[in-house]
Amino acid sequence: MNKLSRVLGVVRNQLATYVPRINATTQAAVAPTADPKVPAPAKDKHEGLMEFFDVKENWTTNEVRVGRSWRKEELRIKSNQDLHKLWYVLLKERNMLLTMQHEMNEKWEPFQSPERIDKVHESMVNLEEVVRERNRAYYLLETGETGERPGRVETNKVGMHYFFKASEHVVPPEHNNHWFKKFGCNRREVAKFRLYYNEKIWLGRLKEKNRNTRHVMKLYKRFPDLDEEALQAEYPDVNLERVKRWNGAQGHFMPRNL
Amino acid sequence: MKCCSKPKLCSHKLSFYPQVFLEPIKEWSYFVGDRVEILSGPDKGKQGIVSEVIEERNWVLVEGLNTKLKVLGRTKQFYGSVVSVEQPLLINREVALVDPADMLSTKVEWRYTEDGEKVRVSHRTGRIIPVPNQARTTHDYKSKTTYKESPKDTTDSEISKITFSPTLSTFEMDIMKSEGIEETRIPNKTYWY
Repeated sequence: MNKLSRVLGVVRNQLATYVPRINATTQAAVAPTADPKVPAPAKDKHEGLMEFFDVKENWTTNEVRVGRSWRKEELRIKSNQDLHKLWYVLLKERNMLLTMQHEMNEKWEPFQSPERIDKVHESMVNLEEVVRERNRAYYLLETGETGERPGRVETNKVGMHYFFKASEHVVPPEHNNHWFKKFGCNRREVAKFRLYYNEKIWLGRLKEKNRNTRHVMKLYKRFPDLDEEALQAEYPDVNLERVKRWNGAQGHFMPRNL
Repeated sequence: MKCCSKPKLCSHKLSFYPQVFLEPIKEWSYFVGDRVEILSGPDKGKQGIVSEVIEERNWVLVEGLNTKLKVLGRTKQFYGSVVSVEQPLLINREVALVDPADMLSTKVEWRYTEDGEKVRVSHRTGRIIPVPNQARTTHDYKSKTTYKESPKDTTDSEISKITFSPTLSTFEMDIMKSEGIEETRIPNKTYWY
């Protein structure tokens, strides 16, 4: 930690050279005219490039306690201007956290409370979703379309389907012959591959079903009075009536109604 | 010794990873701090407090009950120290919740109150069994009321302020208007494909 503070101290000294010096007379003139309504800048806060680093008290602590991330329902009641400001607050916080994490890794020190990065990330994802919701509502009302990036399912050269995200072009599609070459496949060439691929998927599903059926059989053996509704909900493919009659499903105990 | 990290890759040594049979359960109703009665084993009939919950195995650990003696730190010179370790108990089969009305074990059911709150109700007496506060503790706080605000937290009064007023504009249009940015250029036609 001493190393870290020493390195940061060097950075701070370099910064100090760039700050123009104020002589005593101007300082005295400025002080009485300070507006009481404007809060004085907090002394523990960094300025300039040092904003990329956490406050100095947090460098040596084992843990930095912070609250939870912003939820969507809380962001929905905020104006666009508030969301705009909050986005930059979160962005600066994320930059600070990633810088601190990098610096700590460089110095072989543990980074305190790494879940802060996740909390900020979650807030940013929620905020973006709320903004997109508002834009979608506007475009649906005005144009009848969502205004989002369009996409569709396409076939690639190997004959596999994938979701294609469209991009913006200056040339219309009918004049862009080169672009169309990337879609579609020769069905005859990929037929063998598709056959084996589909067979593999089908066999995988079949094996999974058989595996589940055998597992349900052993469950019946161990818990003869289990909740069948819950069992069917967990294994929807398995025919319970059929499995129940199997020999492997009968437990090693005396029947109750003997 | 493990021959590889994934059991799929070494089918000949699958016996190291025994198959686990979990009874499917509709809704979990055992929490840390609950008073439960033990239904089987050496401590059958005794009541205790749940100290740990292992949902992956349908297990519950009860404080100081259903224990096994274990010798720790045994060497040639030292006999070791004996500690009692709590053994896991299967929920619904080896353990049952205790009704606070008569302090006897019951089955429970999840129901809704008239206020729309989801509660555990005893099957026998119909009395609500409240979920203990201990189960609501998180890494950040023991209980919500005792949470200490840190300097970077947004206060509750600030969060609950409603500043949104719907206007017929997108987010970008609204921000441009408030920042005083005017866009008069007309973009060329583009194609999305």
